[in-house]
Amino acid sequence: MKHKHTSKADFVRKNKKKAQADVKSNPFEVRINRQKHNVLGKKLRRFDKGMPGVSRSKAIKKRKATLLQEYQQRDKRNQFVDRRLGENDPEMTLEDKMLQRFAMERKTHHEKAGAFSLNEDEELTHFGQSLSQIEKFEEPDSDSEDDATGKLSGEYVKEAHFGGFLTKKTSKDSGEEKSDKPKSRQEMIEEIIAQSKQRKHERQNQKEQTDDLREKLDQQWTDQLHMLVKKANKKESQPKEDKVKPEADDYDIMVRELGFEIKAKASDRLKTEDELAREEQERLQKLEADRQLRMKGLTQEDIRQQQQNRHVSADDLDDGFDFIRPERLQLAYKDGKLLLPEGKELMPSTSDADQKPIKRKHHSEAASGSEADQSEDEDMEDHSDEENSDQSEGEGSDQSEEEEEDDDGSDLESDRSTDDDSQEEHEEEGDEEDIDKEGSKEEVEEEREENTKRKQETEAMEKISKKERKAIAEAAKTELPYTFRAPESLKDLMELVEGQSYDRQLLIINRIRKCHHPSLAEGNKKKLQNLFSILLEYFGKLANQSPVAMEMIDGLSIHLYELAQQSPGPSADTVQTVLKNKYHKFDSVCQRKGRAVYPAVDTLLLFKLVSVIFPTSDFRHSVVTPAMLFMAQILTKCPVTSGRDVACGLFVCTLFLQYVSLSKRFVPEVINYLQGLLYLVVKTESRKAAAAEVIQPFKHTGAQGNLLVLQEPDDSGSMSIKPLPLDYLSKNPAQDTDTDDFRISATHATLQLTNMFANMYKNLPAFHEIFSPISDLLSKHLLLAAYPQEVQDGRSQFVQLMTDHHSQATYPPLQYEKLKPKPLKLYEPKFDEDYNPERKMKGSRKQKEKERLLKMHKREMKGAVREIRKDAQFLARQQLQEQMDKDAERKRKVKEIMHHLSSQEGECKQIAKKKIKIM
Amino acid sequence: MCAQVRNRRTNMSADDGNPRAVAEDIKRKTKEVLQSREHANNITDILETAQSDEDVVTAASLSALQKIFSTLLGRKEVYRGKLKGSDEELADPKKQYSRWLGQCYMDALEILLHRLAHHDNSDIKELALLALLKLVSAEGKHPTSKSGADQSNFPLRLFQLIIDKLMSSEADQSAVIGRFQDYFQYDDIRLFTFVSLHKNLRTVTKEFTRQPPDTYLHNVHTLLTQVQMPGEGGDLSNLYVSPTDPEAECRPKQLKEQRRAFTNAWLSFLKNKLPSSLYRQVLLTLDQAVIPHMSSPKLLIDFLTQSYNVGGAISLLALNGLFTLIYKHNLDYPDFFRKLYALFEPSVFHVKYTARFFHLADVFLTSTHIPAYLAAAFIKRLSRLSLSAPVSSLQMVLVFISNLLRRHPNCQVLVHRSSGEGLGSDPYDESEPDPAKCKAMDSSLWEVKSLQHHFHPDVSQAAVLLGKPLAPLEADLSQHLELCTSEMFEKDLTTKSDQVPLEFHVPKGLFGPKDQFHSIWDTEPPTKKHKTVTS
Repeated sequence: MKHKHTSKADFVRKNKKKAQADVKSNPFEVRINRQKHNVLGKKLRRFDKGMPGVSRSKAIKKRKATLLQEYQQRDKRNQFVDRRLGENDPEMTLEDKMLQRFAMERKTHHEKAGAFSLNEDEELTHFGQSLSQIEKFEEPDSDSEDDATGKLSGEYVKEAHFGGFLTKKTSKDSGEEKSDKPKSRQEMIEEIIAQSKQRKHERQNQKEQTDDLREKLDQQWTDQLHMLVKKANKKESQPKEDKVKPEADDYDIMVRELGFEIKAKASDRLKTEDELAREEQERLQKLEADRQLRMKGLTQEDIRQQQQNRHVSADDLDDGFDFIRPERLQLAYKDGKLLLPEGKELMPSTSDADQKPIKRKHHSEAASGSEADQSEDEDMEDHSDEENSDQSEGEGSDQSEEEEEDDDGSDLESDRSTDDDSQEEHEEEGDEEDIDKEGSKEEVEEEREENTKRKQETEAMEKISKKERKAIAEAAKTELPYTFRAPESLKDLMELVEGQSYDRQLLIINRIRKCHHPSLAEGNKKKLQNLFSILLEYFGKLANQSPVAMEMIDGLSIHLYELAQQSPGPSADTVQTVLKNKYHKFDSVCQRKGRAVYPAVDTLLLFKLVSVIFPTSDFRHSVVTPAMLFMAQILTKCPVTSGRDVACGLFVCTLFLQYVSLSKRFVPEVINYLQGLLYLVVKTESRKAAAAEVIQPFKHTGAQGNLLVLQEPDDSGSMSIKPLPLDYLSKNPAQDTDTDDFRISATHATLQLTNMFANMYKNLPAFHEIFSPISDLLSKHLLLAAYPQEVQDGRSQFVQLMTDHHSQATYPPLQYEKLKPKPLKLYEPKFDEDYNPERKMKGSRKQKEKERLLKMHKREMKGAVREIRKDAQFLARQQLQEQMDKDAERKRKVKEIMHHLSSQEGECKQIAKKKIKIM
Repeated sequence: MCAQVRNRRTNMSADDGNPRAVAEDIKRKTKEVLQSREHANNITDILETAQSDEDVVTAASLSALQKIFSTLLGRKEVYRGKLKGSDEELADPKKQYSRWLGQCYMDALEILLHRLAHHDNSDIKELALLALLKLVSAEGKHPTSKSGADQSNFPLRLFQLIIDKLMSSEADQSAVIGRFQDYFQYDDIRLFTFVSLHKNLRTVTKEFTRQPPDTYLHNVHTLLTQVQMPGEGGDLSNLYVSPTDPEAECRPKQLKEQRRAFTNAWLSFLKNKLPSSLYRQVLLTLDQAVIPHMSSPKLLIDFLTQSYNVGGAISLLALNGLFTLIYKHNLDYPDFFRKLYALFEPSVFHVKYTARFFHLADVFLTSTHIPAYLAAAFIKRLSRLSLSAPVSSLQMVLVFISNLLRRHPNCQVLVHRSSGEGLGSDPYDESEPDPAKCKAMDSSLWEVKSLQHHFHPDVSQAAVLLGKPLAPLEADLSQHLELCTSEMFEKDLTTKSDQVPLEFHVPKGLFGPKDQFHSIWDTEPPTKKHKTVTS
């Protein structure tokens, strides 16, 4: 036990070496909390050991120095500051202090005296050199290690020491140095280094010589040894040959066969996504290169021929007989189109269509140094930024990444991928064929001229018909490049797609997306996000065209959907900003006039797009909810004054129908709107009676007038009903809305929508109240006898629904939702299944950080409180001490006085006694 | 030297073509008139030029007239009495001169007033007004014995003329009235404005037997609203025309007089049939700007009850003034709540004053002494209205309902009825105008239950709250009153979740094959121009 104790004390002593240096070590001052069980590796806590006495005295000392001083100074205005040198330094001895003070005094004195001294800057020189500088070079050769002896050579000493006065005399006659100047230090050092190097070189030479000698010796020895061994072998080899080999039986053969059989072949590993992407990119690049070739009407064969053509042999007579020398053509692209000088056709040469696949293979070898290569190089530079950074590229990784992101959609994804694949495939074919058709007209004309021109030159070599070759050239010209740079703005995109058919525009967008797949390079994700916003802008632009290019818009929507899948957050942001801008525009008009006009088609289609990209059934969605608000606002704020307004309103109602079709949410605005539309169908004369409640934006009177009232009710019974074309939405529709045809269609649509909504809201408790205005209108004022059968069916369907519902409806009284009963408090301990004492606590980093700070704060707080308490104790002690001192002083004084008095009294008594005695 | 300059000026005045030169000339003539009587004939010249079409000339002559006559009035040279006189008076050249001046003065006033009433340029109008007011001040300083009958010395006759011209029935005088506003700080001007306005209104209403023109009423309203009435205990000694005895009590110094004049003017104004925009404006400002300054606000009762009975937005606005009367002036209004009940109709959410209306309705229904059936009727009515209310007002409506339910615990049967069987239909009678008979207490708020499925999350949540036992504290209605759709829109945009969920159905185009759009809209793309090759 004792031993243990001491060892711990030792340990503490070791650790506290520094503290011991300050405080004289006294083992009795060390206090250690005894541990019941010694646990290996457990760290000693702060309070387990320490020197309470020491620390207490230290604290008191510190307080004396600080708090006590303050306490004593508490009522004093001024204080005495001792600024004598070293007075506040307890470590200085008196002697030191005196010394320092003296030095200081001298210094100040000196400074004062030297203030006007003129000789201060005088410099001592020797041979024109400053002594202070020379002094620095006291040992110029201190770094010379080559000298084995470590001593300086006499020669050097002679030269260098004492300013070289000895050498100086001799230098003139020695002839080594022509100049009178003594060697500078630099030169000397260089000399020394040169000497040492020379010596080293000599040593090396010597070593090499010995090595050579040794090798030679070795050689000789091996030669002789060979002869010796040969002799020995000849003697032994003879009897060995006589031995007969044992016959190998089936079993052995079998064993060996089995042994040598290939067990498992190492197969090619599956390609990673990146590799697939890279392959895809390579494929596209290759295609692109090929395309460029074909664009120029060149094939692999041609290139080879050209190479030969260009070669001028040494035997060339230079008599002007030459193959047609191809002109150097600077190939340049603009917006993916080849720039060709006017009237210049590309050099044709022989090729074979059948050789196409082979061509591609040979391309890289054949192209070296050729003209094609040069032009290609230039072209490559255009794309270099993409190609360098985008090592790989492709559809494959595209798919796989999407699969990662979107687990539930994986099977759908694969569907799509196959689609994409097939699309890819016929992109190539389709393109060519397309172009064939397009180009055929021009071909006929150009063909004739060119045929005549070149016939003589190349006829012999031609294997393929001119027409075919031309077709390829044309195709290549119109064919799209395979790589595109990412457009920065809508303008960029427009430059890319301008004048292309919609199919090709979509193809371009597709290729842009592939070229900038996020897995290919760092900034691609950003580029694609940018592309999303550009496409959205383009979408709006297209939507505002009349007629609306649905084909393109459909394609764009798919792209937008897919891009949004790749980066949901930024896409949502983009859509939000677009929505916000549109809403602000709408709202500002609304605020100014109190009403607004129906927004343009792009806004309406944007709503539809939102429903394509985002789920509309979410309770709250950062894009869909604002969009719905916007739509509701449109339905309440826009007065209906024209057929277009009716169409827009119906469109928005349909949008709402789709938005809430899954969630079955209630939209009062739509019901109001449908009611208003039906009100407009009622004949103007009988409106007064029907005018129960018409809510904004509809009015009892006004410009709406006869918007939906049939003009010729007699003819309309047999009219056919067609779905409304989207064209009605545009500001100046091609079709007239002022026809009975439109009116009937619109009425039909309204009734259809009403029925759909009614079916959707069937289960709402206030269903009857919601639809009662419409039901009143339809059952009393809007009999629609003159309308086609379908319309009448719609009406009767609704009326039927209402009556059915009315007969079945029950209105159970409302009750509060039943709350779950509060569980009783449980007193069983709660066990943590995976409790880990090592990990302090679970929770996020933020939580941990907070916890840590709180703990620190608590600790600091505790410490501060303790300090304050100790301060108070110290002060109380101080005050008590003072009081006691004062009391003691007083006691002493009283005692003194009493003593004095008593002695006086005594004397007095003595005198009195004496007097008595005398008397 | 001086003579030379003058000569040159006379030379310049020879060519009348240059209006600036004419204006200079007028200035010179004014100076001459004021210097000596010899040039008095210049006044006739100036009177002539004052009728010129040239704005610069007119302006110069108007200010010249003002200058001349305010000085001459000061010199007491202008005769202001009846213009017919005996012959011996005519004989005296001095008196003759002053009579002649008096005549000129009358002409000048006529011209000025004419300019004030009929001139296209509002600057000239303002100038005429200022000139006239200066003359008012000059007349006030040097009263004739007659005009100073009451102590104030105020030339009421002239002032009446000014107000008459100002209240034109043809032109919009708002710009000039705006200029006039500066003078309302003078207590006498304010008082006499009201007095003259009152008189003017009476004559005008008589003149136009049916209804005075809108411009006239607008002018009156502008003038009336421009006036800032003094508060209780304010100092009323800021006079434009100082009386002979500054210490004496005169009409303008008495708040009672001021208020009476104010009330009279307003009442005679409100008697007219106002155009609807003006009507609304008047009702809007009535409780803040008019009622506190009236001598007896109860005089407005007729007007307000009439307005309340008009219906629609006018009723809503009349509610404001009516409330002040009920609240502060002990007005007992029969059938008040019944009429309030009638005001709750679907259009209430679509008018401008929705917030104001609901604020007041909330105040009226704050009292817990209202019978439960009444509260229930209001609750049921509101919930019925909520079925067709726009998104922006729905939150407010729901809070309103929940507050009413809190105040009247008896009404909580509407949201929680512990026993009872399902009914065939809603017992509440929507068409019943009397809240006592509409059987609201027997009903339940099925409408609110439906609103739990509202498309907007906030509304839906608010409705869900009503399906649970209510928290005891009332919700603050005021923060929902002014809520507009754009605010909601902004809020919805800013509430951003980290992960934006996306649609997982892969689209085939903008309009998918299974869309609801297909039955209604023709969404097929036009025939394709380029066939895509399918393999």
